[in-house]
Amino acid sequence: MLTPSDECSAPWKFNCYNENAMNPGLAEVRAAKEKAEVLFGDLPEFCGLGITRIDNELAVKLNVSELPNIDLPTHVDGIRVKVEVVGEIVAG
Amino acid sequence: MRLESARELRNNLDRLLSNQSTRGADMNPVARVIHRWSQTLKGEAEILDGLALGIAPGPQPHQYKLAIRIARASQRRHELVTAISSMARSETDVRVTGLISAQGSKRPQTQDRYRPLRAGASVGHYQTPAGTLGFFARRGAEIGFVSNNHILADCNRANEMDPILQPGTTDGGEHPRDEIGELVTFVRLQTRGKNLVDAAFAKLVDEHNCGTCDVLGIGPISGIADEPTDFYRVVKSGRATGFTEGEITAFEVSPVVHYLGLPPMTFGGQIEIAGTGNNAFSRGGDSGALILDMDGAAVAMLFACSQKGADNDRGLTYANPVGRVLSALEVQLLQ
Repeated sequence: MLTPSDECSAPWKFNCYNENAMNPGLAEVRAAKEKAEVLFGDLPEFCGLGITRIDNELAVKLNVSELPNIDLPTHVDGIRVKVEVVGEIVAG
Repeated sequence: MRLESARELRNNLDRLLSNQSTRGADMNPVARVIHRWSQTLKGEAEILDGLALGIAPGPQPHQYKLAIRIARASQRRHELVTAISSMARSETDVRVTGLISAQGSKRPQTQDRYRPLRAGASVGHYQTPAGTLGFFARRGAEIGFVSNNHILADCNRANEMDPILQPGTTDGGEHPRDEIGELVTFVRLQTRGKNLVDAAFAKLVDEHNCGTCDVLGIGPISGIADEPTDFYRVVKSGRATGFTEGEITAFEVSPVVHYLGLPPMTFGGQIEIAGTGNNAFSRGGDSGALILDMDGAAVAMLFACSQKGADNDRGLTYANPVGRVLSALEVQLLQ
C-alpha cells in the first residue's frame, strides 16, 4: 500500500499528496495575523492574537474574553483562525 | 556523575515517563516497571503522582546527582523510584516534597526563605505582593537578579535603590530583615503602543547570597533558547505553584493584560503556554518565573495568566521571550 510519502516520491504525478504544500508558511500566517488585528482589534472582547496550530497546520489564534455577538470568520486570507475564550488576562 | 550525563539521564527518564513508553522493556528497568504497571491496569496518575526529576549537586564540585522528588515518604520504596535509582547507579538525591500543584493546599517550598538565594523562590518589592525570582544576571559590574517590573518596581511606581525582599511580603518578608537587593532599573510599562517586556533588575546587597544559579526544583540553566517559532514542552518553578510542566500553544502573541489599578496594556511578541494534564501552568504569584525547555535552556519569563482557556480549561500563561528581557535590561544571564 502506498503511503503519502511514497506517492510523493513520484513528483511527476498529478494530485500528488504533499502535506507541506497544504500547510501555510510562517510568513503567510504572520500576514494573516496582521490583517486579523485590523479586523478584530477593536472588538470589546479582544484579548490578543497569536500564531498557533490546528491539526499540525499553522493558524491565527484569536483570544477573546467572551464570545462576541457577531460571527467570527474561520479563515483570514485562507489561513485558519482558532478562536479561544480566555477570560481576562491579568498580570500574575 | 558529570553534568552532561545527569542531564541526559534526566531527559531520557522524562521522555520515558511522559510518554509512558514501554519500548525497550526488555533492557530498561524503568520501561519494565511502566510496562508491568500498564498490564495490571494501574493508571498514569498513580505511576506519576508527585514524582519529579531534576539535577542535584554531588559530593564534590562539578559532580552531580539525579534529583528525585516524591510526594510521600512511602514512595522511597516504590519500584519506579528504585528502578530510576538503579539507572542512575544510585547517584541520586531523593527528597520528599509533598504534592506541588496549582490547586495544592500545601505551601510550596518556593515560598520559603533562602540564603543563599534561589531562582524560582518568592521575591518582591517591599511594598508590593510577592512574585518569583526569575534568574541571576550581571549588568555591567553589578550582580543581581531579574523578575517582572510589577514584582520589583511596583508597575513603574518604585524608585531606584528601593529595597527588594526575599521572601516577598506575601510570604512574610519584612523590611529591613529580609532585604536582599536594591532596585537598579526597569522597563517602563506603557499604556500606549505595545510593550515588549515586563521586566526589572535589582542588584544583590550581598553577592555571597548568590550561591547557585540553578532553578529550584529544575536544576542548572543550560543556555538561552531561540525565540520560539514552534510548539514544545516547557517547565517552570514559581512562587505560587512550584514546579509545573506545560506546552507552548502560541507564539508572537499580543495579549491585552490587566494590572491592578492601571489601564489595560498590550504586549507584542509574547509566548502562550498551557499546563499539561489537568494542571494550570501558573497562577498569581508565579510572575517572574523563568521558563525552560526540556534541555534546560531559558525560553521566557512569566508575567501574566488568563482566567480561562487551554484544553484543560485551567487558563493560559503569557511570557516574555528571554532574549528580549536580556536586551531590554542590558543584562547577561548567569548560569
